[in-house]
Amino acid sequence: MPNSFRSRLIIAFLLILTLMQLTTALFVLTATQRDYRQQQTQNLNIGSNIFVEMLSNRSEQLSQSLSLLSADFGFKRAVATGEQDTISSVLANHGRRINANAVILLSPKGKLLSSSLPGLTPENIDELFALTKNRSTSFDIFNVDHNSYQFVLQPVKAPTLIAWVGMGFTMDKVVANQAKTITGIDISFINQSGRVDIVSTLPESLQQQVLANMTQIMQNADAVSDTIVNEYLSTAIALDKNSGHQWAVLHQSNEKWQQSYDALRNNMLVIFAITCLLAFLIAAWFAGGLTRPIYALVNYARKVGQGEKPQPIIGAPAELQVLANTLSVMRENIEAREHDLVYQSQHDNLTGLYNRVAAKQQLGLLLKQMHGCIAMIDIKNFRHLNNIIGFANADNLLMLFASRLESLSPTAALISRLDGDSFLLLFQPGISREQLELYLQQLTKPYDIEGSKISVNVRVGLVELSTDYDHNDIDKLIRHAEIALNQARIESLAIATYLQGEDERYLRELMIIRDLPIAISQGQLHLVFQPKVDIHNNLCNSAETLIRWLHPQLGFIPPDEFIRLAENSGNISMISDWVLNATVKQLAQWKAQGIELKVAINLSAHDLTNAQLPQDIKQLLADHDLPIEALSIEVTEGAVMKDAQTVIAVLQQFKGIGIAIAIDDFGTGHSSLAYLKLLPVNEVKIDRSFIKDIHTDATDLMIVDTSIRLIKGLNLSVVAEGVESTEGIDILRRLDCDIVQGYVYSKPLKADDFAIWFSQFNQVNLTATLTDTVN
Amino acid sequence: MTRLTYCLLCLSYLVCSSLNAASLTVTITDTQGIALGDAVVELTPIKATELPPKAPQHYEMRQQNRIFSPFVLAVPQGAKVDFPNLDRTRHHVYSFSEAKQFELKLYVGKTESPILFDQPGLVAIGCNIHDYMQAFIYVAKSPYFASTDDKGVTHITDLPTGEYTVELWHPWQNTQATPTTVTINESSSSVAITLDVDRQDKPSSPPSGFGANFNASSHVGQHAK
Repeated sequence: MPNSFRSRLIIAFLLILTLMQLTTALFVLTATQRDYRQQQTQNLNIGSNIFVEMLSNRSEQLSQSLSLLSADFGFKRAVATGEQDTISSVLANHGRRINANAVILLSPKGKLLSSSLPGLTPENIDELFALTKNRSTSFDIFNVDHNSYQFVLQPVKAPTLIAWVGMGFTMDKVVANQAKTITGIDISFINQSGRVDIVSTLPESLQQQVLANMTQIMQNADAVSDTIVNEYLSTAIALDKNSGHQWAVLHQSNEKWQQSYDALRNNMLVIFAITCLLAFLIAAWFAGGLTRPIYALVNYARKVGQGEKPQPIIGAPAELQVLANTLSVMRENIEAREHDLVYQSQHDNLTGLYNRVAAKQQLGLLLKQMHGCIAMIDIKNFRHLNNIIGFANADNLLMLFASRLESLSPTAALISRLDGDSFLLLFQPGISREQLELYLQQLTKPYDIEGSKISVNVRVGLVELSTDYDHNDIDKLIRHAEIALNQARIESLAIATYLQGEDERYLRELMIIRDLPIAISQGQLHLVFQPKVDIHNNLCNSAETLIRWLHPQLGFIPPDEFIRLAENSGNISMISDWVLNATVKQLAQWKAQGIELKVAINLSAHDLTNAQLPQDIKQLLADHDLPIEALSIEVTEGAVMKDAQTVIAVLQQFKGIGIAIAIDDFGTGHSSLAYLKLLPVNEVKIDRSFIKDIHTDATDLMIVDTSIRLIKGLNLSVVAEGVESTEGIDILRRLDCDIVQGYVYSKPLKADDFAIWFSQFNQVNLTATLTDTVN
Repeated sequence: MTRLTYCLLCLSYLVCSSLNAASLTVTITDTQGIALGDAVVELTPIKATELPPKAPQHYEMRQQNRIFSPFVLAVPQGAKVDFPNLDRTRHHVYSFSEAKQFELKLYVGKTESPILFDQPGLVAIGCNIHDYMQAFIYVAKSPYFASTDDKGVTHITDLPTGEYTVELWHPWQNTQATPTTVTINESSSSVAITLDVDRQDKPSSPPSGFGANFNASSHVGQHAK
């Protein structure tokens, strides 16, 4: 969690600390280093001064020693002899006394009298003699044959000056070590006359560094430099003022300071590490004090989110305790609201009963064992009632109704309001017919609404629960109850019980309604034609078009069924259009084959309210080059009665354009005969129910006879449907019926079959008629 | 003072003894014009005539108060010089000079034989016990010589007339002065000569005791220049 408060706090702590420590360390170390450098330089300078002083002292001491020697009477006497051998031996002898490495004797004028050094040049002698001019404190280092000598000279007096005696002491390792002992710093003597020689207290490798940097040394004499020898601060002193060939280089090792510096730095590092660790721990502890309660809060919130009831948090810092308390309150509020929401989602706002969703849930829970029964109750004509008493009162009524449902016995195990005035009750155990009737009786007692007594009637759809259902079939159960209730509605019953199979019919009807458009588009529909025979001349010159549907799954579907369903579902005009078009097309085809025929199509009540239809048909016929008489229409009494005025107006139009109109199924409707007078019909078709038993049933015969008389009296032609026997034909002919339609001639035939039948029938009968006439 | 009187007496004797001879007064100053004592003037006749021997005289180089006295003693060739020790300390007088080399171990109250200076030249005399003690004996070849007094004046008497080479010497002289010539007439004449010297203190005895040696040696050092 790089973004966590804890890590940020820790990082901030560490950053600040590091910055402070680094700054401090930088300043301290820089200052220390500078200080150390200063000390080292100072040390070197002091050492350098001591070294110079030491050389001077040495010079002075040697000088004094020499002065004693030179004052020695024997020495003087030996020198005064002027004998070379004597002088040489006394010089060697006295030189040994003070450990001199070289001894020379010069005349007062600076001429070499004797020397222990073989290769002295005149320049050497001049240089040495120059020393006599200023012997007090100065020292000078001479190179003789690549050896560096510190020379001191003293006069030899007897008692006047008779000679100068000089003794030289080599600047060797012993001197260097001596100097190192006194000054505490390393010293290198460099003699670079001709070749470079070094005598040094430094280790061999470092001596090479010194030699390598000679140029730098010579250029920066007396300056302090740390680049001459690694880890050393060096300064150079010219030992001979003239030639610049003799050098002493002093080296102050920085080891001591480096050690102190390293120790200081290491201590600081340790302190830094310890403080970092401490800071980390403190920050972690501090952050922990804050983050632990926060994690507790997070857990708390997560548990609240998961719907649990966590323990309230106690003992957090004050700021977080406020948050914890707020979370606690929030949890309670959420719980309360959730409770409300659940209640609202499960209950009907108006009545407080379970709603449809909750009812299903409850049923699922209650119906672990399938026994008892479900009753779906609705109030008859509630919409009508609603309009009369107003919505507010109707709502009031529903509330009273609901509370009465709850108060009645036997008490339902579940009472719910599905929608509107539809209530679903579960009785467990079941309720007997008597109990239910009593129940309904109680339920229909008047309700007191705004001082008025309002009575309601109810219907009940019952479903007896059995092992045929299981608790997953709640939707099915409710559907069955709805089917039963619908049944009661249709059949105007107070109580209807769902019977097995009703559901299947219901589903079949749904399927039919659903598949009808598919059937039209996929050509599942076809037309059949049933001949209508004029029994006066025994010829057929017209037919009725009937529709057939061969459903791929359901097989043959009776036209009554699907037409009724199409009417109910509002799809009837789709069928009418199809029939009209298919018929006209067939007529045109037949006309081309030389078959001239009048064909009647059935129009529904819906079609008859379409004022445009007559003109459309006229246009359609004209388009197919058919005469207007080629088509006629049949309408049922029922269809006319639904909206008589409009229908009659449309029928008038049909009549006006010359299309014949027949009343179908005459005698079965509830129409008054007066309509017959008003309707602009040409033909009346007596229903088959009167016709089919006419040869055996006297009542039917009488009705048909009377009807025919009536119709003929109105000057309309009469058609008898459903004639199945030749006796029927005879009777009808006798009764002066005009046209017969029925199985006695032919069942409805497909177009091709009909064409064949038509040709044969008319051929035979024409011949018969001709024969009759001839006979 | 006694010595001085003695010297003057000697000189007056010499002057008086040679009546038909001229005398020369020589005044010597240093470059600053300050009178220079202890300078030796030697006149050598240019005409090589046999020089008359100097009348034998008694010369003394005393050791008194741990110094040599006089500081400069001019003697004629062949003179004998006594080295009386008037001190209570011993002295070890020596000379390694070419003109005369000798050693005298002088003990208190014990008289040694005088030293004969038979070679002309300069003899530097020292004491081996007291390094600061120093004196010079100028052994003149010519009988006509003298050393200047504290006023830088000396008289040379009994000079036959004629031309002389004048040689000067002084222990502090920087360079050997070039000999000049002078003509001596009947009358007495005088000559003033300037000599370039590095003026120093005459050797003197240091306070006796420990550490004297150091001081003495430093004196000697200075003198050597």
